[in-house]
Amino acid sequence: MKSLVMIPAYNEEKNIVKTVRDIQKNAPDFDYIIINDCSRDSTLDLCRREGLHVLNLPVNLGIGGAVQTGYRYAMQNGYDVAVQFDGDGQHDAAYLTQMREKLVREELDMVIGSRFLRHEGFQSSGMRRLGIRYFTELIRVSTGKKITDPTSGMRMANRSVIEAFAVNYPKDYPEPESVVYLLRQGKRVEEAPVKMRERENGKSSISFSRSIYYMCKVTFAILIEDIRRY
Amino acid sequence: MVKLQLIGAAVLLLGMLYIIRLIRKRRMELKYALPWLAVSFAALIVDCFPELLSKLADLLGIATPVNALYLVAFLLSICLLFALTVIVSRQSERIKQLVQAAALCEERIKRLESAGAGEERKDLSGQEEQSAREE
Repeated sequence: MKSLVMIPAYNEEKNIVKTVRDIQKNAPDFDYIIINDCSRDSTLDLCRREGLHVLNLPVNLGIGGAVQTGYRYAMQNGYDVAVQFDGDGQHDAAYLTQMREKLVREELDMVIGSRFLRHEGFQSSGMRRLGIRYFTELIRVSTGKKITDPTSGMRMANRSVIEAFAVNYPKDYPEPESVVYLLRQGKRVEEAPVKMRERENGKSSISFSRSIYYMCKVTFAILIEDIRRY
Repeated sequence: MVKLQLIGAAVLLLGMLYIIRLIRKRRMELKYALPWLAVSFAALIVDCFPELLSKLADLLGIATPVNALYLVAFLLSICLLFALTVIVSRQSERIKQLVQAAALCEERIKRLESAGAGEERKDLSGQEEQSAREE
């Protein structure tokens, strides 16, 4: 089973090599590809020097456009499974094999790594958790499905989802919206418990002042998704 | 009144000439210039025949012609802005797809190049072995 880890990276010079080594050590039968989203630090130089596989975006596209590049790469290169994996050291490659087992065994279309199924590892700050809970409820009302960690960036897709995301993927704050997109198309999405680490270097892409915009935008995106026709 | 009309007409004509000049120099696409030319032309007509404006004001039940003018001008501006937003959305989607395609191509070239270099090296080492055997 051809499997790919897609690592979007924007200014991750401090974490990127460690992330790749983690994958090579703990998920050795997964290939990986870094998507360098026009980093302004030395991420690209570092990748080239270390001989890492990298897709280099000549213009900054933001997280959605970067991740979608990974899905397009997975589609072009015939991968059966592709998993999004943060380049900032938050995610733990030790869970990838379990996630793939679940994906295959239960014939799912997507498995989301959730911090909140077993409440283990870094649980995010109180305010963030409140926001995440809100999206969980919104998605439940909208699709009837309970997703405990809809903002998780650790998500594994099968071939059908790879193909869907290669064509359609939201540009910014894509996680909750794209889950609703899949559920609305009748795809089977489940969660697997994972532990995440608090990021060691760099800060979250969502600062506090932008979180209000984030909430409104994603809410609206989900409502639009509800009335979209496929 | 006539003086003002003349100034208005002059400004409009100059504006239209400027737009046409930009189209000639290919700094503006005809497609996107057409709405501006149409608006300028309409403004020129109203400038030449101001009584049209009074009729419009009567028709819409607006007290003074100048308010009818503001209303029309405002609505047209909004329409143009809206059209531009639609165009920007489409452009940004296209740019995204191009950037992704460029990145995918570049990665593929690099991979093929390193694979090709590997093969060349293999060929060379094969030749060396052969020449070593010959010796």
